[in-house]
Amino acid sequence: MSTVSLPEAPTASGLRVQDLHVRYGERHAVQGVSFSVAPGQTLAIVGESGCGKSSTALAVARLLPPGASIEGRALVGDLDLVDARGRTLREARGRVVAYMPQDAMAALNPVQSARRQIAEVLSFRQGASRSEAAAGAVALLAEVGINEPESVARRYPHELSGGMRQRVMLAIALAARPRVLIADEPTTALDVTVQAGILSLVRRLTRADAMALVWITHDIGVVAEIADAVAVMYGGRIVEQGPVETIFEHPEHPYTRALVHAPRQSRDALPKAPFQAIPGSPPLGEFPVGCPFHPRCEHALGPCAQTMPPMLERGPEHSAACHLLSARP
Amino acid sequence: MTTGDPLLQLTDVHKQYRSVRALRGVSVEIRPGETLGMVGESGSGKSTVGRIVLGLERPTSGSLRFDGRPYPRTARSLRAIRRRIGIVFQDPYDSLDPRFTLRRIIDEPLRTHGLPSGRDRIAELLTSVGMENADPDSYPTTYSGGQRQRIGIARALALEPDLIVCDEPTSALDVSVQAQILNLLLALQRERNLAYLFISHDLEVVRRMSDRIAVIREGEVVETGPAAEVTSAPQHPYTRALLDAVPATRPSERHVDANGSADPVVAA
Repeated sequence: MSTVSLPEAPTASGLRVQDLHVRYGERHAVQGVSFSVAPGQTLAIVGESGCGKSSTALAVARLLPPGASIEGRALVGDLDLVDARGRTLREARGRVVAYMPQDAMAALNPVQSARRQIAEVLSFRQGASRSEAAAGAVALLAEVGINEPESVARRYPHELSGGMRQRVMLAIALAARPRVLIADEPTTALDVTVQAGILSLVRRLTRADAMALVWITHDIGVVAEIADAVAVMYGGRIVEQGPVETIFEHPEHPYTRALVHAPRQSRDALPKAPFQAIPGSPPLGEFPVGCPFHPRCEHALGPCAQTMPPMLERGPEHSAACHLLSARP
Repeated sequence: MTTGDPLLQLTDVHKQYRSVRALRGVSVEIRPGETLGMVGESGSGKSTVGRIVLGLERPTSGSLRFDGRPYPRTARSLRAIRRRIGIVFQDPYDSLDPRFTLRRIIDEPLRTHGLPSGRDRIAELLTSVGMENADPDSYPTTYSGGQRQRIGIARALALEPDLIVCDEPTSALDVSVQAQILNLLLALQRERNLAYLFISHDLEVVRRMSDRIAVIREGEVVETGPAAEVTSAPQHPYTRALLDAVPATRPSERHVDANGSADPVVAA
């Protein structure tokens, strides 16, 4: 394997995304998203269907389908993933940025053993020999917490449980020791008891390797469990971001408040008591003019339906985009 | 309401698929107007219970009674019971035919059972699920997931059932929409004295929706009791494991510590 023509991504460089836009033809799915993730840290991007969270993930991982267009920057060291082309991009995949999908069954090759799929990354990315790659695959399976990795390595995806398949996906994603791992709802389809194990594992491994982890989810409970920082997306934009404690204890945007308060209100409620609900449903396709949340917001005022509120600093590394905050210091 | 004779009674129900023992002696009952929450993980057999209650599958052994009478053996006689049991499916995208109008979707159970329908009936059913502004001649594809689930509920109500099997009715919906659908189910139950078999993997949702809970694992009910009791003083270790795995509501209560070295509750 020849050496790389890659602008060197320093071992601990983190990820900086600046003014990212994604368009599918006329549809402007991601409208200027900026965030950064330090090495060893976890940023959770939380939002509902159509909010642009998966498009953001796919854009940074450079896995958007043909026909989608990206603008902005996604920097790992000096390398801009948005600009990367050809060989630079090929070399960056897996080594600079890796992606872990929600549906491991769909992502894994059904006719190849777990070992072969992991070994492929090792030989392609690290120039490992056949036997080195095979041994490396087993070592990676052990690293992702699989008992009897030798035996699991020989199995095919359909012979594995959902949790094990997701661990194999993680082994593949980690094989080339990426600087940035994008995890797109990888535990959503798993049972809660299995999910807890995967959450702990991913967090531990990314910390140990000083990897920047971006965890995409719709589940605010998962955010509470693993995030260091949080970006809340709604209608193609980040509407609030900040350290996890701030987002959960002092949320400023009405949507964030509803999201973080709902599970607590639920825990305090008796069986058969009504749930606290946000009226309406999240916008799909066409985002409303003005603040995208205004049609569902109980506090909406005149300007909310006219102009998009700017992102306002609310505290250390904490910002929110809501017209109500302009009126309040 | 939780008094009176059981509406539905399963006694020592077993179900075997070739070598797989899907259910191993399940006994549960549901009284009129009551919700039994059935919580378990994938492969626990919770959906099999739903299918057996609906008469879509026959148990390998055990007894099934509806309103005091055993389930009949012939498909024809089962129709009388099926008329009284509705279903709300998990995925409102898969479970509504995109080529059917709302009218036809909601009308279908009525026509299947040779019952009168008509414009007023459809409008009344749409109103009862908060869709009074929906055009009965529109198609499901023009509606959001939450609205589609309302249409699915209207269809389940069409035959005025006594019992509705709700199999993960909100797991395909956005979080902000789930609460609306659960509130609708609660309101319909109060208005109509409906009984629910509420099947879910989500213990917190089950706790909120149910009068009583049955925790099912590997085809066996390992714990059953009033919702508040099962969730506040769980007796079985598996119920405790399910409770422990419910994610934290704030970072200060997280199970996963700063180094991510928290114990996985159950190995994958």
